[in-house]
Amino acid sequence: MVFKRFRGMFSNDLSIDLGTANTLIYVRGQGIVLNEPSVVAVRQDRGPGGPKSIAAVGMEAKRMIGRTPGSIVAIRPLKDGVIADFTVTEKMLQHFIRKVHENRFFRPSPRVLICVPCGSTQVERRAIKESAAGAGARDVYLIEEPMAAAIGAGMPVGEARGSMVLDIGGGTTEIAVLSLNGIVYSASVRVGGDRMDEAIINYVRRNYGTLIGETTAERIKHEIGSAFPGKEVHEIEVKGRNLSEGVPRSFTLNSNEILEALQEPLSGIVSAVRIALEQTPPDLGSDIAERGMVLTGGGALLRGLDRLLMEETGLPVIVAEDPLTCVARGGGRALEMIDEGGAEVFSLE
Amino acid sequence: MNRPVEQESDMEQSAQSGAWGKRLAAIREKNGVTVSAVAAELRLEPKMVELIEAEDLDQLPTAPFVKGYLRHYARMMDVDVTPILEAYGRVCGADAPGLTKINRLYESTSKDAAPRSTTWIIVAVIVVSLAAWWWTQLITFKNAPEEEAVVELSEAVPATAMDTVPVDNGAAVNGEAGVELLLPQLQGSVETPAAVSPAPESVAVVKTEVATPLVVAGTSTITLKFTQESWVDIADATGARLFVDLAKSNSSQIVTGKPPFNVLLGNSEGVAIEYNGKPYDQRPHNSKGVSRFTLGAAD
Repeated sequence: MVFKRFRGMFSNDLSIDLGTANTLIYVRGQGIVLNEPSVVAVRQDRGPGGPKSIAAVGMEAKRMIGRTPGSIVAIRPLKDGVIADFTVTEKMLQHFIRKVHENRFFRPSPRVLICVPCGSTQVERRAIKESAAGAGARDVYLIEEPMAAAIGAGMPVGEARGSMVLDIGGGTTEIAVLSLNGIVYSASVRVGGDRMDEAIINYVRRNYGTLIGETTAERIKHEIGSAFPGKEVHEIEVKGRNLSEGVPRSFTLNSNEILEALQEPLSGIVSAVRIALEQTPPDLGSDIAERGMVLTGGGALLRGLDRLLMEETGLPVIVAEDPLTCVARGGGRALEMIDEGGAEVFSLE
Repeated sequence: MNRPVEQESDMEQSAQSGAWGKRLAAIREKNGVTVSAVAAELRLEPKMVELIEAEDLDQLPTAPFVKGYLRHYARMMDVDVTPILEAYGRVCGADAPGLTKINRLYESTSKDAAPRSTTWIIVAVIVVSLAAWWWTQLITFKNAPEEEAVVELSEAVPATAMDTVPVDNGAAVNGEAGVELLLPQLQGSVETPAAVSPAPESVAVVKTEVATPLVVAGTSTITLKFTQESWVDIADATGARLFVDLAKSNSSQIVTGKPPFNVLLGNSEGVAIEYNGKPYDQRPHNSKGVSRFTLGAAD
């Protein structure tokens, strides 16, 4: 215990956004130091039942998705914002924590704050906590993602005024109404970037009779994906396996087609926002109507999403600056706030 | 003289303050769009649009919201939002904390100054503490025999209450401190003619007038007088070895402990024993010059 504390003196406090798609680590005083996909490539030698070892983690592992030989499996250990594979998550966290403290003399033992989806159960939270402790963390704090996102976006969460944040991640979309450093209403829907990718894959298969991979679907979403019809129509050339011919064929997709493909996940998000507004106490609702809601997370980068939500809700919708890193940055700021005012500032666990 | 400079700074200020809200207002007027139309498009109240155009920082909400409004407003007016946001950032001044770009990770190595110096400090601390520990151990070890001598003599003092306590030179040298400390306690009753009367031998005799022996309850005293060199091993009832040594000729030794004593005397012919002040004949136990016997077993 004493030695762990001693090692802690040589470690930095970390805020980790353990997301389904990406893991971001914010270090106090240094900013975001790590932004890598939450992917682990596991090698299994000598066939099924043989010893398993970690082949790659992060960016390197993501490049392997869909391109691995039989002995290697690229795993995404988080699903819908929560841990699906405990051991692999622990290994991944261990790798990232070590990477942040690379080449240090002592094995790091930092204080870690991890952002968890507000809809996660106690068992899922405990799994995340244990996983971080197993990865060498000295103290583990959990903060709900919308709270961290709102702090990271620079919203006045401490004021007696309603603020609404919509954090669209890879696996989940979190909606919360915050006031006085607390969550008044929160909801989590299991719709996110991954569901959008799936929707694109299904659309292409249905309309073009062609099968594309997850990586390609993600690239299409990033490059021409939009949630609201714009003035310009963007196009992209894609290669996939034609199902009838069985050979790779290339074809062109445009942004209107992707808009059509994304209708299902987008309507899920819109209805979640509507429900949240219905459930919000009227006084806080009027604050939100006056100032608007803030979008964070990777999903906020989808072109025209703010416009769509404005049209659907009639409220001002603002995309936070650097929305991808809001949660990690907010977690870092929360760690500072804990130091300034004690852990009771937030409803941390 | 200062006027041109003042004018210049005034112009800079007006340019800066007018670089976002007022600029958007000018563009809006140029395009012939009303405030209410902008407010409807941005889903804001017209009052908020007016506050933006008036650049009223006191009444406007916090920076993240205003930046969002400016982005929408600029998009609606079809102008580049970057200079507008930059101008607003200069005056709002509150957006700086936290909004950092992705930094490159500083890769520290074990060759860096910090870990190296820390290592050396830790090594130095360990070496110094080890040295300190060794030094204290050494001092304790050096002091131990002296302390033991004092204890031995202080234990022996009650025995001085008995008839005579011969003190040999060697013992006096060894137990100087003990003698100095203990003698004053006996001043009233102890005569020390040894210092005055010329002793024919090196044996000094201390005579006392104390009649009753100051024997501590449950302990007994053995007085050994050596006329010849002898090796002695005396253990008491607790098994503690009270005296194990090679005794020189013409010396004496007082041993106090809990009876019965297991006594071994080498060259026992040259040793006279007194047990609690009474002479004890150890000759029956003599076997080839060595006596082994138990003293005080009957007590």
